Amino acid sequence: MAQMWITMGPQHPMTHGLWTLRVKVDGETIVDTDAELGYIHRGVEKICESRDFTQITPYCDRLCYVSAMTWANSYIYAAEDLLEAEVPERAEFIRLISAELQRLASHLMWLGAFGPDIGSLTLMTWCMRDREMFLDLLQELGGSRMHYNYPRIGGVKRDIPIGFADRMIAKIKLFERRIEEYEMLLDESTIWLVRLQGVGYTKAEDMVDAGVSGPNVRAAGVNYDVRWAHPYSVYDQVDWEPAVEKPTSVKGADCYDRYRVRMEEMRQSSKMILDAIEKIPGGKNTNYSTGDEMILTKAPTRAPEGATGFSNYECTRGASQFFIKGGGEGRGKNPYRLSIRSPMFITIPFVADTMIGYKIADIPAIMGSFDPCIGETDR
Amino acid sequence: MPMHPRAQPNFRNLFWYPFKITLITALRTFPFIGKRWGHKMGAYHNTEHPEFLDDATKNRMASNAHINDISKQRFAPDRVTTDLTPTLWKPQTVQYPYERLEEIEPWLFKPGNYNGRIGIIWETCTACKMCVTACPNDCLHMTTELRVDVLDGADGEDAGLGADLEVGGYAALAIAQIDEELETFNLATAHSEAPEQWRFAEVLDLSGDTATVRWNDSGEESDVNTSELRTADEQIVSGRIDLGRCMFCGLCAEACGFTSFFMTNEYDGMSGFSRQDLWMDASRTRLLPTVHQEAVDGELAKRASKERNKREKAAARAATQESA
Amino acid sequence: MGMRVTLEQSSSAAESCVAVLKERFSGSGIESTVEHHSNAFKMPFVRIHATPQHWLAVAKFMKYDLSVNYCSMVTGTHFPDGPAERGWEVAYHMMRMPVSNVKPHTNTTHVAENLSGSDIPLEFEVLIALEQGDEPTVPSIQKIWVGADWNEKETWDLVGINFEGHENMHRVLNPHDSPEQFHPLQKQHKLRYHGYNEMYDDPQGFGRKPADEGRNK
Repeated sequence: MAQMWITMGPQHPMTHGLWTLRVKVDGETIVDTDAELGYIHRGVEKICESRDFTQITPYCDRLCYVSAMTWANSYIYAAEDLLEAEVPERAEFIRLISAELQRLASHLMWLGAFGPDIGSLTLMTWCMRDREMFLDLLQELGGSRMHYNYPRIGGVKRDIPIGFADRMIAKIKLFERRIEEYEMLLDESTIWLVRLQGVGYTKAEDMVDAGVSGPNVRAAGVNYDVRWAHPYSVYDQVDWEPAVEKPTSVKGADCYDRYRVRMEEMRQSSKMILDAIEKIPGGKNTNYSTGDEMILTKAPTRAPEGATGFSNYECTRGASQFFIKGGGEGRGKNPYRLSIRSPMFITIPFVADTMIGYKIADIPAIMGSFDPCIGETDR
Repeated sequence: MPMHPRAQPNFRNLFWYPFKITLITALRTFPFIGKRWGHKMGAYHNTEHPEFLDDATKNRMASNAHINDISKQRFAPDRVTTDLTPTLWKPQTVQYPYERLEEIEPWLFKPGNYNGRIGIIWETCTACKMCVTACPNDCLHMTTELRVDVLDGADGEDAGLGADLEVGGYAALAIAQIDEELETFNLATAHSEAPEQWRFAEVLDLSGDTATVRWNDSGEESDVNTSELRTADEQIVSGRIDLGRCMFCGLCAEACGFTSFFMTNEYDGMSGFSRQDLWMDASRTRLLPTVHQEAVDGELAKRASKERNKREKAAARAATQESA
Repeated sequence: MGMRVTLEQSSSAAESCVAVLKERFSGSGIESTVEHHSNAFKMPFVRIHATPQHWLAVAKFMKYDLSVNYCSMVTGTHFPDGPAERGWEVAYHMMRMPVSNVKPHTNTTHVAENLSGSDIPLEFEVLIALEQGDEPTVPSIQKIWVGADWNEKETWDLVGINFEGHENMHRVLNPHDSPEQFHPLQKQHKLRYHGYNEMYDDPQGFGRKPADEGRNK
């Protein structure tokens, strides 16, 4: 039979973002793939060369819009490395709580998009309903539901509001029961298992060689997590473990393992938040005013030429890194070069390679199970 | 539905089985029948586990089998309580615009915390342009307009600290009964601009306690008592915000050192039919001083005390120079 | 598992890497040092200043002897006003991760205190300075790490640094029909519409303001 190239074009409901996947098929089997990115390239790296360090934070929110808080935190750590700023401990705890809340919301968004791809439309409504809980919490904390501009160099913008801790604890405790409900729905569902098990095998060493990190690698059986290996913030003071999954085959992790590892990650994030809110220095119901030294220290605004800042941060989809060189316009107020490493940018070609040998119907399963977000891919 | 090629219609398939299944399903909703005889009646279907489960999943699911495995359910009704009492079950959707979320969950929309539409108290703005430099997106543009500065318009203990009237400059007369109108005026929902508080005029001549002024609106000249006039200034700016570019990051509000720039908790009122409609000028961004009286009072107190200190220092310097 | 990799482990791993590198590459213009981040990140990392001639040898040494198995980021920078020997700079960020294939139905949960030797996670930063000129060239490490492939494509696409030996180089973020030798992150390209007091969707300038008189886009 003749082979043909099919374009899953930039507008497609199952690609989870704006990118083209061209697949060469022989009947139903995929024999080759070609990924094209760049449809949402906004030139953030170039724009940031003419912005102050404080003005860059809202741009970093919009890199991966689903997981904005983790990207803003990732940038802020790099900027603090560059400007040599101190951060008070309460601010580190608040950053941890906000990042883990964002991780929960992002994983729910992933599941809410992945479920309908596999066929479970119920998941879309359930996940959106549960994600509303975390979006409300993030709205209280950051001021809006998706793009907060919340962390600042040297701390955070505002302290946690009064009553926020109680609402958050109630919602997380409810959510822990909800995770069980998701597992009851999915883990014995025949359709779910048939579509996800045995599909999209990836080995750990291949993934690491290709530059994939984060939950995708932890699904293959090794507990590598940036928060554990290159620790930052107060992750060593909070009681948690990296979520790791046992692959079921010598061929590596399949889509079902990647799904399981994210469910476990949601559990670990919930645990982390409950622990952190109890251990936060200064109490969980004291609302320090904006700019108080408990939550923000004055940081230098200029970076001399030759200074560099680097941050390696565990974002929702992998290890995101920022590399900033100081000494730009405005006598050092702007960075000279801001380079963003997006985990998804490296994973997408790897995902395209993984699909070879499977059927067309497996494309949404494989693609969705890696949790692509093209906003961070194209920057 | 496709039929087997050798199927014959018969009483068992067409009547008896459907009747039996329906009867069992109906009877099993009664707890005393469903709990005792449900499993024996064959009332629960599709209860075998698929073969795809690996040991890890089986172990993990064992603890939830009492919930998940329908065959282990002691009683599974067809209906839930909310099906019997639909009137008690309300949708969780907030029926905007008849209900608003900030009335139901006000802690989500706290004015200081929520990144809503921009609001500026132009009376206390000093045109320092910190907001313009802070904006990452070039949204804010400043222009000049005729305004009465807050220090010039002060009454009571801070009176008399403003700039003096001068010939060739501008003056303003407060419009009477405006305070009562402003109390009931809601800028956010009104279909017109806020009523003017001042009537501006150019000062032509000052003699004693009477000033000859030419009104800006009519061009007529008249004499007004100096005590009723306030100094107005062309330099004090108003501005425009391009909400099409704004990304509601709040850096401008943080940059304002004069408590004049706020992000309100309003999320609507920003729609238009063209991009020019989103260029919000001063009247659409203003926060009436009455709404934020605390901020205005605080700012006024700060500036009045600064002005007082300045005058005291000038007087002290003049006194030392005289004595020297 | 909950305990993190300690500072002592990381420091000793970094020191031993630097010692091995110095022993192997001393005298060829390659310097390696142990650096520390300021403040937030407590772990040290290894910074290597390499030369384009020796880069492939260093890369192979890192992969096979130092077990650096993760190529994370390739960054190119353009210094048009820099010194003659540093007109361009390529920065590679690599990492060493204790990840290996596991048997089915098992997982490897590393306990931090049991890690030793080349299992200790470590970050590496390699900086290569290139001369001023229009054709900065660096050997490609596409064959050594698979993850370097698309990183190098992006660096060439945005910055214009040529990677010698890179197969199938193509535009990845810019449109495919971008003009040749158009690499937006070079410093001679300025941002359009930046600082203009005008509508941004007015390409022919009908809505220009007096303040923008005399400016070209």
